[in-house]
Amino acid sequence: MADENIKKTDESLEKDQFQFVQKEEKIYDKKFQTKPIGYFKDAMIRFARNKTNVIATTILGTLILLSVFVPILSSKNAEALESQLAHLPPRMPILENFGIADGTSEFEEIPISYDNPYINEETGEPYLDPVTGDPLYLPEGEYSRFIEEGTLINYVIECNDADEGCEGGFVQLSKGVANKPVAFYSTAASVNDTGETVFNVQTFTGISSPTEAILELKLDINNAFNDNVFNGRAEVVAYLQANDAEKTMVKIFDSSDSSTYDSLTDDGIYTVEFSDLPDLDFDNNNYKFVLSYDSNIKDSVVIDYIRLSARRGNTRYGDQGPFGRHLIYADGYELSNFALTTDVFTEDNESVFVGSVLRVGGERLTASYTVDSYAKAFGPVLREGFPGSEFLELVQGCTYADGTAYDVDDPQPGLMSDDCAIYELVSRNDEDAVNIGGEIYYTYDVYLNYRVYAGYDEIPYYLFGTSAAGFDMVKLIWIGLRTSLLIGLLVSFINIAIGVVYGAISGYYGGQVDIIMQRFAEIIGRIPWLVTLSIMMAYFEAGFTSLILILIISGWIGVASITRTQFYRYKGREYVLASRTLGAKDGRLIFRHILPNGIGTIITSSILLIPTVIFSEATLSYLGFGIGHGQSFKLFGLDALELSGVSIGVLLNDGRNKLRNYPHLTIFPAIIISILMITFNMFGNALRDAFNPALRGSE
Amino acid sequence: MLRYVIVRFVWIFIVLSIILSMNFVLVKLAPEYPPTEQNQAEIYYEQQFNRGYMTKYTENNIDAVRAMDNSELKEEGKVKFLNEKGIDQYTVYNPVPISDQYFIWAKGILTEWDWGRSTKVQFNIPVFEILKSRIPVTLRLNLIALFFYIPIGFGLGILAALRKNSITDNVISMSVMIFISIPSFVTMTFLLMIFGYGLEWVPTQFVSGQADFAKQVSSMILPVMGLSFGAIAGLTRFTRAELTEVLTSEFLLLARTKGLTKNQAVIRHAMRNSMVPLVPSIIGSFVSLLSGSVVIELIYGIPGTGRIFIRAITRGAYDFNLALGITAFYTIISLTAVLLVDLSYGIVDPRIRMGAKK
Repeated sequence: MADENIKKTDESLEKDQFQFVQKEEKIYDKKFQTKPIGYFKDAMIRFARNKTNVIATTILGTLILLSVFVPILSSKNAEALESQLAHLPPRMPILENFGIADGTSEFEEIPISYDNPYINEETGEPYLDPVTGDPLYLPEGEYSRFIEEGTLINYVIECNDADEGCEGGFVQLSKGVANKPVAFYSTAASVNDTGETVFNVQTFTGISSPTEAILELKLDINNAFNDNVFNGRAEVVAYLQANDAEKTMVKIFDSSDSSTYDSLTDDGIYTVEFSDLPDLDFDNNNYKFVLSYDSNIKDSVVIDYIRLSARRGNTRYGDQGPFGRHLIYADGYELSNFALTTDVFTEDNESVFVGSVLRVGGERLTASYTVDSYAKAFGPVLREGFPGSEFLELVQGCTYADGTAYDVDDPQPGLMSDDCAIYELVSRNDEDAVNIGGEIYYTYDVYLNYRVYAGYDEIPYYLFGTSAAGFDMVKLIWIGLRTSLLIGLLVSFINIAIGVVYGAISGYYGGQVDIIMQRFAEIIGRIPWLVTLSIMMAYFEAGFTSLILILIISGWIGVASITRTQFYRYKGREYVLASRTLGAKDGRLIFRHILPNGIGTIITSSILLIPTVIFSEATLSYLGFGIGHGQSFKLFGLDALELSGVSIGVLLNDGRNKLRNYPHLTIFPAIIISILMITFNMFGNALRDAFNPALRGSE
Repeated sequence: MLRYVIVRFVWIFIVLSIILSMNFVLVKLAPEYPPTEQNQAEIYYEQQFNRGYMTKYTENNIDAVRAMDNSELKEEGKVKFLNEKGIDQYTVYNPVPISDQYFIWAKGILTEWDWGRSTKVQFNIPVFEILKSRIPVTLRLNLIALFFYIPIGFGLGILAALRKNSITDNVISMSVMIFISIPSFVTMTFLLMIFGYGLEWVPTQFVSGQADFAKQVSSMILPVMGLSFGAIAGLTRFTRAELTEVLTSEFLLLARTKGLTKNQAVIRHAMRNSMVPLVPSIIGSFVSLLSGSVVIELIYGIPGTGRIFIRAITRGAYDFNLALGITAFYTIISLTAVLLVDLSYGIVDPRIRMGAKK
């Protein structure tokens, strides 16, 4: 490296460009021609030399200014709830013409509702799937008219949920913990006719008229408990119990009788095809499934899983499909709602039945489509039973679309003109009229023209979209940023204060005091943040108090160690010794002589605390253990310094489970906090390098 | 040397027991959350009694029972149970002092490795059982991340240091700055949005053990990336700083003047010397990786220790034993790492004489 540098310098030097400054002059008592450069100015020059850092600092400054002024200047209250405007996607002028951020939302895999067919608004005809010819369905709460034409498709996805929309499939009971009997326990035991103990497991509801019904039962062949089954000492038996008067039991499976099952694999899976058993009468009966085992040995069977499935024909509609094609499969929904028994215990007080009931391989009809969210939000909104007083206020001065004036005493249903907050009057509810003191109050069924109703001349542009409560994300982000920054400043300030005092005492006195204080700091510093978090959560609701305490508990240690180093560096200097000889007390030495010398280094190193604190705050709030909506905190009890419960971490937490359908809730806060963290770190590093050039590079 | 190792061992053990004891006492002092279901609560209290955390007696005195009906017992920290319907009789559970509970707890752990049973998350399952089923998932994830992040971080750091102030270096340094600053959950979220939801290359949720192998591997990609990006950035920056410093040192100049080629000098002299602070930093970063994975586990639905921890400390459903067990796990790992860091200095650099008086 070094030799290359020398070579380069040689090439670029030309002798005649240089001349001696003081060849024969005596300059030692001459005044400087330029002003001397102070420590601070010197640092600033060094700071400004790196252009990237200057750019980063400018961006950081802009962010901070915006976070201060946007919440103050924004006219509309960002906290007012407008549920109609919830989850609007971003819409930006100019860009919208290119199809980016044009206010439409794309949805995928949204479960449909069979009550909400996709129809042509003008003709009232349902749209049909061009391939299968089946009618198309919309999810609940969507209107046909706002769907972008040709974007809606219905398709089936796999599902394992225990709800009614998830149709068909298996119901599977799986064990949760290894080496524990899962399905069989002893408390439900009874003695049957032949003197054997029978252990009933559970009765499941519902199989009706299947053409195909399969039971799959897996007994782990390697499990010692199951030796009893495979060696014939215990029998696992499955019945279908008819819901007729006698509750007839039909045996469909017996592990000891190989004629009752169709196959047994090497790893212990029994398969039984039972819909064609002559004893079963599916035409007249619904059946319940009962599993039991006959054994005189307690807890002797471990079942890995039981799967039950039944179907009629090849149709995919199961539990609740349209057109009478319902209840074909095993009643999977009921079955998957079956709660596991966890409060039955064996002798050594261990719970037996640990596992899960899953619905496996169900199918769900879902829709994917694009919807014009702004038109939907600001378009006609049906309000039934709209209060009369508000209606009369809104309808004042309105005319019908055909020009006739609105008559209060004789309201005619009809469309209103464009600038009226009422889009269409459906009817006045004369039956519901209330007579109070001789005056009659009506309610109305109306379509609101939501754009006019909300007070907009044009459909507004929400650059970053809106939140779940209908707030403008632009304002929310700046409010959140302000909270994040203020918490960062506050906590850093407290940490620096504690750290400086602690480090000063430790460094100044040295010796035993130092050793003890260092050990204490080490223990505190070694506590993982998860421990601090778990202790705080045992005492406080997640909020400002717990958040700030968590951030403070181990946050001051870095500052303390820097301060201590500075004190070790300066406490032996001559001027300290001189002052001490003159009788200065410890306090004076610490605060007047040593600290001022070290404070520059301490502060510039501590600037980086602020982004660290913001980072931790965002993480905690994101996890749900920090602040949250609706909270507030007043700094020093001043109204002007009130922090709202919205920080960037909180906003990201809001968007966490809506990544797929509302990515804008996450993208914009994430970008802003990324920019903030990057620029703040660059600024902090640059500042530290500028003030302590010796530290450069060792980051 | 041996003395130093022993001293470190003892010190770390002291720190560990202080942290765990403090955790136990502080959490025990807070209001307790027994299970809400009646039968679970009864089992819970019976267990507390069996372990010696509580004493119990049967209250037959009619006046006392009346008083209990007006729930005056709450303030004394006692818990009551109606024994049988229709009979004016309560079983009263009364907690013993926390100091006694502490010794029972410590004895249980030291002699039987008994961490108690879960009270909320998976009722009545021993905490250690739950941990045993969760730890492999978390550790596997972190070890895979470690496996990728060390060579990549080293490589980039060395590259940046050797090409100092070139375009390569600037690009690497800039990316390092970016990835070190962005919180890991933001990185993870972006990765999930781009590769999961946008391009649909990988699953958007973690695929657990029963699925086929290819799917499991592909669902590992995102969490490993999310975990290791920040760590790679940190290691790169550290390697670059260390190596740059060594590269400008005098012994390297001497090595060059001796006639070694640049490669020889860098590999034999510079690298080995820059290794000294690097090895400890890698051990240390494993701990931060581990605690960083809590957030990743939450986002990606990974059934690891982090997610169960979040569930255990949920307000109102605070699972005392489980929270203690998991925090103990994290504390033990992080303190072991500290110990390894201390010991590794001596192995990597024989010049550092451990335990030598200054």
